[in-house]
Amino acid sequence: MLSVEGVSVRFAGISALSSVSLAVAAGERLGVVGPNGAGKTTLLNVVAGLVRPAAGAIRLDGRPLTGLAPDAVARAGVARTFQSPRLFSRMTVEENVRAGRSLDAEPWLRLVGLLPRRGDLAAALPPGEARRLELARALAGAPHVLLLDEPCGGLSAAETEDIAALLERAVTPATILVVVEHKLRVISRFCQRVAVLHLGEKIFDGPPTALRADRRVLDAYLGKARAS
Amino acid sequence: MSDYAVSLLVRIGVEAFVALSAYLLLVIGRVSFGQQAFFVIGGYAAGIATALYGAPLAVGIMVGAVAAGVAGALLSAVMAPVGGIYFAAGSLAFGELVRVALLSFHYQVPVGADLTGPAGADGFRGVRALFTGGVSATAFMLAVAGLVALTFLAIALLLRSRWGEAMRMVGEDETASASLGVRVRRVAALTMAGAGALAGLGGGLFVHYVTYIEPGHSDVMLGVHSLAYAFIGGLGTPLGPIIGVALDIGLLESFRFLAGYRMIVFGGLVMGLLVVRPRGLLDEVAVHRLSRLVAWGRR
Amino acid sequence: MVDFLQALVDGVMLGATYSLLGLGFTLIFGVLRRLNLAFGPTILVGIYAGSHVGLAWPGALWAVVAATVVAAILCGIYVERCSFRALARQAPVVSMISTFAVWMQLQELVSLFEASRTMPYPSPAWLPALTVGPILLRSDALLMWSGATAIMLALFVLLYRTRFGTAVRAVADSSEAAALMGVNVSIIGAAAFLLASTVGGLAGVLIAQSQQQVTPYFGLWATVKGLTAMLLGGAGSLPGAVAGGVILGVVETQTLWHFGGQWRDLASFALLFLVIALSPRARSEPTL
Repeated sequence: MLSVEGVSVRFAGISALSSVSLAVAAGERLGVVGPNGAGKTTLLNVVAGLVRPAAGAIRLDGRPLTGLAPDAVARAGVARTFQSPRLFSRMTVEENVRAGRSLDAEPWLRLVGLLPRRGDLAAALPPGEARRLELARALAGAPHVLLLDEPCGGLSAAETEDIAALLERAVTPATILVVVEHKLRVISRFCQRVAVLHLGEKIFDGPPTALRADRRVLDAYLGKARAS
Repeated sequence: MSDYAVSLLVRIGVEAFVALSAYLLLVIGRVSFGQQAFFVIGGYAAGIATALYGAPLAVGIMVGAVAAGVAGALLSAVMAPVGGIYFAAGSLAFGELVRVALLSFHYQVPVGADLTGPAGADGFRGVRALFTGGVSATAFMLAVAGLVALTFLAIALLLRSRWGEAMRMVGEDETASASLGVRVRRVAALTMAGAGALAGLGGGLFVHYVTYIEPGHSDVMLGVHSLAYAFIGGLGTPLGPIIGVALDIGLLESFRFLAGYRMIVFGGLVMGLLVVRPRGLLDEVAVHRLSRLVAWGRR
Repeated sequence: MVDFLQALVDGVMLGATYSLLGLGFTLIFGVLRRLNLAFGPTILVGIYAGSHVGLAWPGALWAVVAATVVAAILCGIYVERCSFRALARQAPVVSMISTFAVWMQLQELVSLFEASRTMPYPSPAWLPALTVGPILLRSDALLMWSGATAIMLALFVLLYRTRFGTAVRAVADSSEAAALMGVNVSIIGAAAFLLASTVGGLAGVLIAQSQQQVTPYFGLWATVKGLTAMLLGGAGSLPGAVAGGVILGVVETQTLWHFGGQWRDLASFALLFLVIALSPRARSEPTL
């Protein structure tokens, strides 16, 4: 169980998250949506230990993660991807998956279909393959919590479908999955639950089907999307 | 082999250690202008061990490497979490700090009829273990060459290992490395200690070859050259800095008509190369292509 | 108490020139986000040029000043072309390495023309020394302080009261935003470099007339002082660089008075270390 309890984050006095609480159980897949600047990436950064919350606590199975350095959070079983993939471009595809850990990269490379490219430098990969490689790297540590920051960002419809199918196969029933995503279609495809952030506050938490009926969400998120 | 050739090769070998030292830090993304300080610390410590306390040559040189490694570890307490221009500025200051501190470092004990040991600005003379030990210059040169080869091999193997993977990850993206569980600070601290020890090894060899060392040997230009060697030869392999040293000392220095203009030519070479190949001749892409070629040839 | 005050006054006067060096560093670093380590050596070349002019035409102080500043500016243009403009697409650290390659060249250039390792530099000997109560104000120090203060005032008027200055500060704040507002970022970058070289050359004149001599070691010395002043002031803040320079000057003269000459440099390096150890910014700095 990953629990975010009343977490607030401020950057230079401006509130990025205000008193957000969430609890995600093992095997649950939570989608986090919201317009730009809603605090989605900040939420992931705070869980991953990159950003210190001004208030609140984060716990994994009761164990506090708040205040741990990012590498300690990672070793506690939290893996993540980034909004734009952060690969080690001067290392090979295989080295990127292994990433200094003692593990066999081969099954993960096979899973994401990059086995033929294992010896190439990561810099040579096109965007779609780069996303898949970063996903393989996050999955390879067999994490308890998987935080994905727009795993389909910038991808074509076919590539998005690939990633979604990949996630269906790869995520074990014991994994806690949190996906930040712009595209509601992706979220409703494999998340049982959706949280909506707006201006740093959680304004909705429930099944995707209830999303379209929620007044606040329509005003804050969809309303804005229609207008733009 | 002529005396000149032997001394040239020893110099290449000695500077190769400082260049490899700077290279190790470049692998973890840190630009150090201060590796000359560890070179000098190693030289002083090795000289003290053999000339003042009668340690055998090999032990003395080990003492130098260990002392410089410890100095690197101590410095890492401040500098391990620091990156970018701050690391560059701090290492520059550290190099000068050591030079200035050695100017007032007096530690002389009677050895035989004379006082021997570091004497402030006058330096540290009379480190004669190489000659009293009866080691010929050629034998010493071969030993230095062997040590360079061993060090190259060790670094090449290290960089292929899990540890080396972590180092290269830190050198490219500390945030992504940490998010994969790499203890960035520990990697940086251990690398700084190792880099210090390597430069110190060079210093220990140097002081015994020329029999003296002085604060002025912690010249910022030594540190800068060492850095430049890696950027010339390439950052993709520990062979890069060694190629850089050989190119500068072996080639440029032996062109007599360059006398007086060598730094201008060398500086221009570095500047031009940075424009065309910002990570040197043998950068990661070149090394990757070459290793592919070799693998293909074997098939 | 008098010792303390005397050292404080000396420190403020010395520190004013450090402030100038720090401002030169900050102008380049603030606008281009890249470090010019050859800043000291470009001033070194300027001072050597001035020294040679002073030897050739004794008494022609204006010619000495002009030669110093012009040579420093020419070297600055060379650095800007080779290490900054040519490397604009590379990582900032590549520029920093390149400036050190230029440093090597300038250092050797100076030694090609030097008659001896220590070159004399003329100073206006007719200026009187002042005494205010028990405090002695040496004429060269007074000139150093008043000159530096005048240059700083002019610089701050230029940067805070003119359209050009507004553009420079806008680029320093965010080059993307400035470009969107129609500022020509690359021209402003080159102009900031020129301005920094001019300030550096003038600082060189003030320092050299006080020391009345120059050695090739000056290049490293000036770079370390300017860098320390800039980092003390928060790396990028113009008023911060002024304050950083004065703090450095005062720390140096106080240690000189109380502990002796060999501690002076140790203290200034220790100060730089302290800044790096304590600065939260140093820890978030991206690497190569």
